[in-house]
Amino acid sequence: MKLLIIVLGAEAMLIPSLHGGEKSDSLRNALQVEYERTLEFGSEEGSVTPLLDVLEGMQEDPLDLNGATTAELEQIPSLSPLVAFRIVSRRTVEPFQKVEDLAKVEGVTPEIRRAIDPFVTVKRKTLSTAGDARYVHVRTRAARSSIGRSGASNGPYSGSPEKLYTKIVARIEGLQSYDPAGIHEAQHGSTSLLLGLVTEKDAGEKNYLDFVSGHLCATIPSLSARFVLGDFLLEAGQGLVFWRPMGFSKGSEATANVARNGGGVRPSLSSDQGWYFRGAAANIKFNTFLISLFYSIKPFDASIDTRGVVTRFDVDGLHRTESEMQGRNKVTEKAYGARIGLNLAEGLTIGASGIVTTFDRMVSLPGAFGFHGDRYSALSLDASYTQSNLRIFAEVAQDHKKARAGVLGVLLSPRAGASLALLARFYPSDFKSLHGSGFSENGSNNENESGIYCGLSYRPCSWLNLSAYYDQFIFPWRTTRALFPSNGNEVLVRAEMNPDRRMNLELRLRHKEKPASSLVISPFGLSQKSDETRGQRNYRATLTVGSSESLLWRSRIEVVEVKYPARWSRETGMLAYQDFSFVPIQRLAVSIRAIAFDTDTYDSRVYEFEEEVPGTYQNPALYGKGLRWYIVGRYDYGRRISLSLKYSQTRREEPRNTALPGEVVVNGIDDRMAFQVDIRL
Amino acid sequence: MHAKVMFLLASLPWFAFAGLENNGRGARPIALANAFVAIGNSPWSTFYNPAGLASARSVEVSVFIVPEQFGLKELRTVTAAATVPLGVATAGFAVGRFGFELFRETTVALGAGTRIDEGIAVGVAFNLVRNSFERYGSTTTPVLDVGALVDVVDGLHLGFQWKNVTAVTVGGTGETLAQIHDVGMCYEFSEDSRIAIELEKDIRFPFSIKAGYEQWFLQMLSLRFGVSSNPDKFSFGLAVCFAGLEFSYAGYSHVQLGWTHQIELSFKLDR
Repeated sequence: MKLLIIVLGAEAMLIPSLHGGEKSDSLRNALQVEYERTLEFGSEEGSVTPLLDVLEGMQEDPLDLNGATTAELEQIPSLSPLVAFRIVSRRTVEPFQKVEDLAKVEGVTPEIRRAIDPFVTVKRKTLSTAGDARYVHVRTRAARSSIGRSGASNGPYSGSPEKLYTKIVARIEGLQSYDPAGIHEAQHGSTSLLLGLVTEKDAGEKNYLDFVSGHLCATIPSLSARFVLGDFLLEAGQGLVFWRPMGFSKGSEATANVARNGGGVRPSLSSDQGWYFRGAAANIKFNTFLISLFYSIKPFDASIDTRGVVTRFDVDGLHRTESEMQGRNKVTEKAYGARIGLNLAEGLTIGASGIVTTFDRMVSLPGAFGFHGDRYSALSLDASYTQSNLRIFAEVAQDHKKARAGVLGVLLSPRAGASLALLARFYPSDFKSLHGSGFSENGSNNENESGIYCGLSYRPCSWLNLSAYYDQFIFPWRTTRALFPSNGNEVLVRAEMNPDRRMNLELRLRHKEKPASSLVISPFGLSQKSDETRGQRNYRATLTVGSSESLLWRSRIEVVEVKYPARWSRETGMLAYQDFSFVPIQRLAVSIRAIAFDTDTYDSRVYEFEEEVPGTYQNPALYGKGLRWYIVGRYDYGRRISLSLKYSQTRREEPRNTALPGEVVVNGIDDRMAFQVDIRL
Repeated sequence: MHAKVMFLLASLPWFAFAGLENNGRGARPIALANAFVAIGNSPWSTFYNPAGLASARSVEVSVFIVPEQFGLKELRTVTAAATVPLGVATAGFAVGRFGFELFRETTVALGAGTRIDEGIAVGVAFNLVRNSFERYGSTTTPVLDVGALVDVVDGLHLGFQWKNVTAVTVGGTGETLAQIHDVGMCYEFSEDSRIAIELEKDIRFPFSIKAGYEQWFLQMLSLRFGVSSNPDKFSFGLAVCFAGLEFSYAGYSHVQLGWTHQIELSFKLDR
């Protein structure tokens, strides 16, 4: 009985720190804003699932302010590497007793505090008498859309229209000197085991286990080591050779996500079916060395030509139709590699990374600089130097064909409330990075791009926050959007004001000029493709009013203007939405959003980042004339079970084009419903 | 003449079925170019934003008449509206008639607005729209509108209304009644003057921007102005108020169809 009381008592104390989802409603709202700032830009370019998984992983298992490394803290969006460094430096003087102690760290403003709160905690070391702690999180989700229904009933899909997702995370850890950072700080902690499993079936797929991913991760502090068996990612340096797909690059926070700090091997629990590894890996700390090793054998979906040569990797993971099924697991990659990091002095780190890859088929990707062959290797050297108000970082890489790429940057905080980021990148056309994702205009592609980025963030007074960036880039060879070498630039200016404690107003201007190829008709009536400059401006105003902790109103107006100066073309788009979040009864949180949009063409589409059920977000491109609305509800049944439901509907004046023939939008109405159950034990 | 009117009805989509949506009801809202979603405390809130009913603290009755629209007697409109505070909520009632013997639209509306938190009100309005076509019969359609109104800071209000939430269609025609989102703000410089700006999106048409300004003198005389786009309209109005009785006039000029004049008489019974 006594043992039972101890165990239950320990669990009760542990659960609040483990359950990111148990944060208050005001924090949920703050989290949603944070996710939007972090994921919005990336989701316009491609899938942000890997990024979301990282964020959710941190939310679910918040970082211990007394144990997390600088690299781990830097995973938190909106947290500058300099502030992360100051947090680590400060705890050596005085350990954090509670999260509120963050306010004592230089540079942690109330806004930063709100932004990072869901991802950090202070874990107690006094629970050791309870023995092991176990935590299990089961999440299962089903979603169904009208397009999926029509695709299944009209022919092109071979399976049912539901999208199904299940995730199981089980963790067993000793509480003595509880230390999730594991290898870096702990000399006295006990072993922890982490088991993760994800299954997913997309709409139209036949097999309920169409995608399965999982890992077993053991952290053994006595050996200063972490071992991963299963699916994993590797992050090193600035991401030229190793990084998860889609790294943070440009965003509303102009200086926060520019510098990177790879933390080595990381277990992967993503439903994104991209370039992760599958096999065995280890992080081992030895004196001032941090060594990461891995071996991976992983099949990929691919398109094969008549010679049996891979002409395209298909990483969208869709197996709905016969043709999509035919490309399944057509090529296997065997890869091994290592990363060795050396901490020379406080704040000074150097490292070397290398990878060797072999494909079991010849690969010949299109383009003069597309990857050709069945072998790939790359090597990189990286270094970073960090002080409380300065970080200098660099990485140079060379691939198997001697093509060299590099990144050099500096992050500076000349005074409190001000920071400046400069970054130069050089990715030649012939450089290949199969598993990297460095800072880039193209989201995740470290090829055929050079550029200079300058970001500035300044807080002149307590109620005003200003940020801006300017990025200039060159594509020395043709791209998927331009036929010839081209260049472009992007500017963002943002002001965030809190004139009243209940009110937040954000004004943002984003201007981007980028090359685009289009079909033009010559004076002789011949059509031909030609490059031209495409200029896009987004004007956005967002007003957030919170009358109380549980009631929030948000209004947004966004105007898009797309210009093609060469042909005097101008297209516009506009969006206005109202968002209302409230808690009608205890434990039930509801969010309703109504959106009106009107764009001239698809080219002038407007993106609208929105919450799905917990753990997923959508950023639908809205175009044409129409209205959209959704309602999301979440009910917490005790502390262990959460039920979430979302219904969304888009009404358009004109029919919408769909990806596959047979997918139909009936009467211009496109709806979707998602239901999710979260069980935490 | 009837053929001319029917041609006008058919050729101008903003008249079809929901004849009054874009021309408005009430002399005050029309004088302010219908930028009324963030202005509450009016019997016309039942149509413009039922959440605004929550601000009404007294019984008020208004009768609004448009003798001719664009010079056509056949487009005459008569509407009456009232607010009745009921403790937890304020109820709004309205009944209106538009058209002539060939086409007639009759609307009966019941709305309610209530405050749910400090500075936040929500409302709902239920409309029954009856369309009668000579020789073709008639059809009655229930329409649901919802709205919200928030006091951002002292004197600054934000409003939102969604008309025809359920996207109902008229009878068996498959023709959907207008689905409209309105969002706007109103800033009160003082008790006597306010400015309102509004953005309206009817799913069928481009965004429309509306703005209006109101100034009271000695709490007896009011002057009002407004402009709107898509279609371009200019409006003005005046009101004289004495002992709870208010007489209002409003006129607006449509860029293609010319002037329309309307009058309103309202009575407020202060508690």
